[in-house]
Amino acid sequence: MAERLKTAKRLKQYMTEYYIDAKTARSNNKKVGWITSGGPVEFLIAMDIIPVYPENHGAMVGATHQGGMLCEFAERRGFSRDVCSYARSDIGGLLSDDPSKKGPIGGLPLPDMLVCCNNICGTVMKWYETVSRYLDVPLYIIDTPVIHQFPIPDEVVDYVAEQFKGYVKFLEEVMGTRLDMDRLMEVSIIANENVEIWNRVLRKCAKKPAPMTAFDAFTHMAPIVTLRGTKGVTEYYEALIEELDERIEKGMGAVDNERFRLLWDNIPVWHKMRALSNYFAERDAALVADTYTNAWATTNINAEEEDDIFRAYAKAYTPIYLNIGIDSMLDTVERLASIFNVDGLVLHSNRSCKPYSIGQYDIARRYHEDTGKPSVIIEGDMTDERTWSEAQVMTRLDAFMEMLEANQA
Amino acid sequence: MINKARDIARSIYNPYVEDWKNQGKKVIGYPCTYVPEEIIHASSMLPFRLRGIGTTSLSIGDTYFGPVICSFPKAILQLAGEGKYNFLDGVIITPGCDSMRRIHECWRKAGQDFEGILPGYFYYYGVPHKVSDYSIRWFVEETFLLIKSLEDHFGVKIRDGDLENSISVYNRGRELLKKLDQMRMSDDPPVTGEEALAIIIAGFGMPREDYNDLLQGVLYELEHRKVDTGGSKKRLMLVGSANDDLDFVNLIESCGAVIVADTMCFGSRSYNDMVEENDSPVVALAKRYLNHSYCPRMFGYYRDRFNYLLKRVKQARVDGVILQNIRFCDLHGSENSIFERDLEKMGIPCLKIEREYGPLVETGRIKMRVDAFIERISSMNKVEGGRQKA
Repeated sequence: MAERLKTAKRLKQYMTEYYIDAKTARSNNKKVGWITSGGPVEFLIAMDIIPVYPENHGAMVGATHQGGMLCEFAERRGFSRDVCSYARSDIGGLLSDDPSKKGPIGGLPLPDMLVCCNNICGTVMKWYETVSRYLDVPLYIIDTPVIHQFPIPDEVVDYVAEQFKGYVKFLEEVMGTRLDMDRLMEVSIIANENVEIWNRVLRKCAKKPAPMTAFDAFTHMAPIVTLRGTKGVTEYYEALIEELDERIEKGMGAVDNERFRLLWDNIPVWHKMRALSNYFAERDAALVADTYTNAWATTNINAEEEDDIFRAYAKAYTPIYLNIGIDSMLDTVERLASIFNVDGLVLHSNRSCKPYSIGQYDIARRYHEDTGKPSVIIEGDMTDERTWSEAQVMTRLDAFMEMLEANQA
Repeated sequence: MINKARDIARSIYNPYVEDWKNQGKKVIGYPCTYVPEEIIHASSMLPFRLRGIGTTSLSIGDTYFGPVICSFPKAILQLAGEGKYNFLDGVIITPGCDSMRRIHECWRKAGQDFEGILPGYFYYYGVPHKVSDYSIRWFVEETFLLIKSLEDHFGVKIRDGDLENSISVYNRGRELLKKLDQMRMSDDPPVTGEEALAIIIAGFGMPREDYNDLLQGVLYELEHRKVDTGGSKKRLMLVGSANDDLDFVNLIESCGAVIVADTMCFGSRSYNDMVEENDSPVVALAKRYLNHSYCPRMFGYYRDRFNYLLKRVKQARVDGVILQNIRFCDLHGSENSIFERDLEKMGIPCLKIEREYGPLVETGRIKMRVDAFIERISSMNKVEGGRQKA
């Protein structure tokens, strides 16, 4: 297997600095806002609020195998074990009195405000309402209707745009200062640059052999999620692209002897990243694309083109991957499968993420009907390692790899 | 009368629907209490609430939804896939929750594999998750679009006068159901929880005028019923995920309890609020249907939901509250724990149960837990000298 990306070191430093800033916000008279992963972070950046993503923290919790332990804190308080493990582990971390049992970075910096957008699921609103009640901090919720048809109906755009205006009012009340609209425009433009360069990063894997895999993308997505709207994101991804280009030039793949190219669907199994990465690499298979990290490569805010910036935001943040119809999701999967020239799909049926997991059988079926290529559905959970059934998953993956081998023979 | 209601509640294609269809009239299915039934009624069609009772397998539901999803929409899809909903002329789907909103697509996909199960009219009706002036505005627009779509597809005309009449008919039914509520909550309830649920459910599957007549008959019957509920029975309230399964309530009551109140969508949540009769009808419907914010699908309003729950705990003088949720229900699965925390803090005993929707495969486990809960309440009553004074 190829060596790790050198840029990973820089990423570690970059994210460490970000978390230090967030953890020391109070002593630097800065405010912290918790926000959902599909939330419009640009407004926080424009108001100099440090955004913190409990979902990003959930990924770290999963990767460090602390998910089960933190989820149990929430379960002891009555939260159903079937509730999303990001929510349970986050609430569990808050409820834990033991500082050594609050998560990999000793718990998140506590929020001064909460911003929740339901474009990813309906669970986030219960999660954030719970945090809001436990911590007694103000919460703003942006309701984004599901989009089954394009262009988005005007009434829907109006409805969401109104909420963006309310969002500004909410932030201004919490901060006691006005939002500088010029600054918001500037941040919006930078955010678009960030999205565009992240898209370029991901597209590098269209090359054969792919210079990185989806497992790398899952790690390197942290800046585009957490710091979108800042110049540092673009600078970081420029460095990453440079390294990927070097690999491409040398014909160096992330997986030695790449024979199979696969597409991953759903949130990663954070607690099995290394094991799954090794599993595929040992079988000459590279996960060259995924629907998850791609979701941050498509949100363009046409702030300059639209007369009303709030309508531009409504159009950008409403039709994201998890907030569209299954047919549109299928189209996205097939488009990615075609761009990245994949040989099959690996679909993670994630017991924590219901909106992501519904429709996967249809995705697998249509993909097979259209291309004749195979898929495999593995059952797991992104953060809660207690639900993982190694033997069952490996049996399915082994059968899938045999199918790929047979197809290639 | 109650037996008639029970027969309807225990079936999908009941004699009223059969008679309606024999007259050449249309039936429209809908899954959730956020769809204004008055609009369907005003178009001279029969609103029929989608249910999943009587499923013995989830093979079809599992195929399109996947394994980690609430079994309620899966059971509905199962029945649809088996052709049990082929009598429907149309279906309106709403984003009740993440799972329920996807039935829109899962049913469409299943329709590609199972011939004839997809009604000719299949409509997605957007419902906001917030209550504000702008969300009411959008909901009014969505409601006008729904009306237009029904008019275009079925060649009907839904006039304001029709809507006003339907609002009046439905409000009358709500008034009668509130009377039933009062009887349930009295010191010696003349009706069991199972009977009350059967009566309420019947209203989701028969013409409303007939239902109002049935309700009047039921109320008369109950007023004259000899009551012997036995003072030793514990008075419980049922809260949480959708339940239209009479056997689930029977099971709880068989442990020495009577369900005297609920805050559920196949229950008081469906009839508690009236539609304003002196407003523009579509606006009045939008306000009523969006403002009845007792479902956790709505953003915020925890305090409102809790206060509503507490009000009913007091009105019904309950000994305990059963907080149940269907597995994989993130909404009730989260909120029940907070309810439990806040109610127990006030000295109101709670039992939290997780269950699957559908045939009672977990009878033993649930019975054991309810038995233990009743024992707990009984021992508390002994210590405190009687019923909760919430």
